[in-house]
Amino acid sequence: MKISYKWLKKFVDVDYTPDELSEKLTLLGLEVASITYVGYKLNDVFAAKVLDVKKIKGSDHLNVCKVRIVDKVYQIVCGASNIAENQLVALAVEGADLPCGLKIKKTVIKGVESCGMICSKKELGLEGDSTGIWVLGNFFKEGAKLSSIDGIEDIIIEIELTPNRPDCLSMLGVAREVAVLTGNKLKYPQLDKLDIPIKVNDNIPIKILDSDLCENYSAYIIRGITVAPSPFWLANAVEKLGMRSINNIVDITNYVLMEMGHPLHAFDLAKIQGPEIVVRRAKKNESIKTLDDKVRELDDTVLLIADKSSALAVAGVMGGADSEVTESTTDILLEGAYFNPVNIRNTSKKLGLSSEASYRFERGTDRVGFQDALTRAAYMTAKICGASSISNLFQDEPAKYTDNIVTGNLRKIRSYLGIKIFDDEILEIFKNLDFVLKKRINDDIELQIPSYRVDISIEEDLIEEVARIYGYDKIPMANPGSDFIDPQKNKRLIYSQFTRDVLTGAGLYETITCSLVPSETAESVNCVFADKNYPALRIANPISEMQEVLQVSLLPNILDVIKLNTKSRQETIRLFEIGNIFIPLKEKNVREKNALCLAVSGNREKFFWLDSSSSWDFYSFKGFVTDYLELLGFANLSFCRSKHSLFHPGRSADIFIGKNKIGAIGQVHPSKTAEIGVNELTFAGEFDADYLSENMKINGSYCPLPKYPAIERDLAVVVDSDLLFQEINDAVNLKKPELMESYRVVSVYEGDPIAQGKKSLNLRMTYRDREKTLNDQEVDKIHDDFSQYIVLKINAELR
Amino acid sequence: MRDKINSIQIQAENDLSDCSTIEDIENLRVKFLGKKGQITLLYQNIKDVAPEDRPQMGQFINDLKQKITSAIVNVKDRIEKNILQKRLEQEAIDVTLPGRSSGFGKIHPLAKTMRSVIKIFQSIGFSVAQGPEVETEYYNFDALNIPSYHPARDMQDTFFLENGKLLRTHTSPVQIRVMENRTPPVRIIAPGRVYRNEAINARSYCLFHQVEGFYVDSSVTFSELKGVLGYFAKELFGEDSKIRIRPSFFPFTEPSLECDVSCFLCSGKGCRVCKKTGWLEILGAGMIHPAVLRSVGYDSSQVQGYAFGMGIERITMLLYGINDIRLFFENDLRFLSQF
Repeated sequence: MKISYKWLKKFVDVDYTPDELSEKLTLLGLEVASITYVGYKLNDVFAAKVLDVKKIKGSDHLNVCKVRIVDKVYQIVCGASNIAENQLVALAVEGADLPCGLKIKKTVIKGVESCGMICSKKELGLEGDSTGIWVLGNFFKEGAKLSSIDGIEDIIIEIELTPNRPDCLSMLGVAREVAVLTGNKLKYPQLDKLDIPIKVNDNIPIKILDSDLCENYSAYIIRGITVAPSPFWLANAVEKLGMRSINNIVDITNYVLMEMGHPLHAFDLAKIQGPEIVVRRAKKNESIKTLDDKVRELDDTVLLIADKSSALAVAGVMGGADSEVTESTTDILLEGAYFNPVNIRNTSKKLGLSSEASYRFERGTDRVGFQDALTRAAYMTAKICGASSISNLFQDEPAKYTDNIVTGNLRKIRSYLGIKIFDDEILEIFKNLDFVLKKRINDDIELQIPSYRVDISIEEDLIEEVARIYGYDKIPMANPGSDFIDPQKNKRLIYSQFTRDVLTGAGLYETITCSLVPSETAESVNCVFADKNYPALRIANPISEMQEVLQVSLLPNILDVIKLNTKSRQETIRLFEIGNIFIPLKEKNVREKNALCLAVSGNREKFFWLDSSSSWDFYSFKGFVTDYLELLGFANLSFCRSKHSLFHPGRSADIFIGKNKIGAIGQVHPSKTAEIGVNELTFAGEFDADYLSENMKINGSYCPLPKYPAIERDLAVVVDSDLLFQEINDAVNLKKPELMESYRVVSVYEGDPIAQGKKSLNLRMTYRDREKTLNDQEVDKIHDDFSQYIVLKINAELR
Repeated sequence: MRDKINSIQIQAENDLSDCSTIEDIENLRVKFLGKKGQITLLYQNIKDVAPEDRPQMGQFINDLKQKITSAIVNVKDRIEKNILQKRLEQEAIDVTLPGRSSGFGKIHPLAKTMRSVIKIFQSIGFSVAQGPEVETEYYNFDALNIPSYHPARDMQDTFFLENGKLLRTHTSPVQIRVMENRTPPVRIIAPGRVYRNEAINARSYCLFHQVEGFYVDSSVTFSELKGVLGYFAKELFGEDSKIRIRPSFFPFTEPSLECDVSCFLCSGKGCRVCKKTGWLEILGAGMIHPAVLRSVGYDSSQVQGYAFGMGIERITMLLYGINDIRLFFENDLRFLSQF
């Protein structure tokens, strides 16, 4: 919201400079976003009369004009299309240094001398954008220096108000805060003195049918007015605060809106059927054409201001076009009301229509004080629009307003804030805020809150007011509470920090990507951890196709990152990400899972001048993965072929621990790498980080070093070529002899002299007794028995 | 015999000085000490010497053998040293050429800031809790004193899901979930990812990371909150950092505050980043609204507490002078490698 520094000074004495004031307001909770100086540097700009306009020969738009400032006539070349004789215009004379940066001096244009410039509002810094020159109304006197005219020079302070402070959405509201700040007295705007008859009985019936949505509706009738452009001071005042000047009637309601914060509306009385006012819910299929010339379909949640036959306005949001005040209007009904904030907000949302009025009504207006604003506007209208008569304020029987009483406790206020403040100081703060002390028993107090402070309803609100006025900056810093609270271990945090350390140490970079993905991305990949694939969960109100559904896997995004970095010619790409995936379940349910994704592409190591770096292959990636898992304490991994669509079907594996599928790894499918234009030797994997963090063991117990030597024995078997090693491993683990410490694959061989369709595997077993030295005979016996078992189990031949 | 011995000695000395390879030495050894070597021959010829001279002659031959043997060892040693010396010279490389680097990775700048923030609060007794990103309206809004008609719902644009749930717009729902399951005192921080339905540009992204913190106990005060924020600012932004707090509004806190830290880029003098104010807005906080405490079944007349929340992207951007939030989510290695 914008406020005018000069206008503010009419309501309260301010000694602070605009900068100081802004700082103070910010510390008071009214955050100042910007300070703008307008209308300055206009010392050499005068109101001047256009005497004569003639086209310059050879130019289609330039005119040579004779322009007069009292007794001096200037020749000016002007290109504006809206210039005409007898206009009063703003003339910048030689030497003027305008806000737009122009310095005015004598020039010759198309051979014609020009001794100044006729200015637009934009050039004078009074408006953001202008069409043509500024034609001054009759409110200016020829020869007047613009800078000397009241209201031209001003400082506009823009405040970003929080939604709890609608009471500050006006000049008066901010002035109230400044009054508390400075201790200076607030000067309320005074009613204009009228010398026209007040017709006590001039009124029309008002019926509030839905008093739950409208507590009070009040009005004035003002007759014999002339609708015309506003006087300069009025138009200038509303324009400075960011509104358009329409005519005197509209400008007055806007002026009072800005001044006192209450939305008001004027109807052309002649267009009200009855005449009577009915405040009611809209009927089914009822519609109204609003002031913006759009037809709005309504329903029975929308509150209307209607006459005998039809809707006049959407209550609290916007007036209707049919009852609009026009140039031919002579009598008006000026209304003011208090509407239910929730209802106005819903209507505004439903119609997709918000206005200065709805903005205030939905935040909560002054249910008592609005009548003062209405009277102020009615008297201004009568005065400025030359009314012949004015009514008294009239209204339907209003709903009873009960005072807002809030109780508090002085001791609690102190202890809550942790400050040393005397009772009297607290009470003084409340007094300055016009919170009336109704009752006090020891530390318990009862305060009557002014009707404009809609944000004060509980003791904590009172505490905030004390803190605010006392000064947040003066509140001391205390040590954090010292109560011992059992620290809670967070396994997920421990896991992710450990993983980050390990993987970055191994040369991988961490990525963070967007968990919202295009739907094609989600459709193109199935979730590693789901048995059944349901469609990915969609955003109901996406802002873009690029963020439409919740990711079911981290893999697509990390491949995008590889793509990006391949494009920027990175030769070594090694990445990981820890993030949540959203596994779709039936009936649009979703299971959130923390996942880890690894991906490598390009060279295994950085470029080296001596030789070309080696590429990744499946086994080097798998080895890396199993090393990582082993570090987390996972040893008994089993693998099977993966069916994941993103992977090369022959070079990918699902990883299990027992029955839990904890991940899948593989070479990225060649058609995918080709599609995104990255190295074909790209490998990736995704892991169940929830499982890993829950079951990791990074602090195992110590096992004494062996004292006795180990003995090794080899076992060479010939098996079908398509037999997976996993079967052998399972067989080994099933009946592993007690004294067999470990075993490893020494070689795998296919080809001569091994028969076609067969392969030879050479395993090397390590035997050790931790209690004594084993002898050959013992080991031979164990090894031979075990070999027999393996050969039978996997249907192999000994070699 | 004596002459013979002498001449062999002279010959051996000459031969030795001619040796330049291990092979020469070996040949020399065979020539003098081998089975048919000259020394061996001398021993065989000793029988021709008069018996009374034999011991002395034997002694001479022994001495000569000893001399030649040790001379061979010495020369061999010298030659080996020379050979090694030559090898080392040949093996010399340009040690100033770059090495073969496999390169370390780095954690993401956001994770880095997150880790620092978590560490600071852990050091003063906060535990870490997490919650789901897919939330219900109840946890994200209602329980936090943001009813459906509240204008505050305009402050954060929400991604709603087709199943009626939503993506949390802040980490505050974790506050509710933790309090529901625990009785005071509780002192928790909740780091995590949150979402806002906003157009993506240099200043805003559809998701970001927050750290929420709160402490509820019987007598937690506003000034303690200020103390915690002051400590946090000094730890994260440096010893000389000051904080400024000012009134603000959040539906879930009362009183509420916005916390600024003195601009560490210009030391509070005023620069482009702090918009000449000398202050950088870093977090929002306040005393937990009694309605929030009641929504989790706490007795708001018996316990009170504070809560705060900060955006990790914003803080990271300030710390490193990053001017485009999208860089965090593009993951260009040329960007990631700088942190």
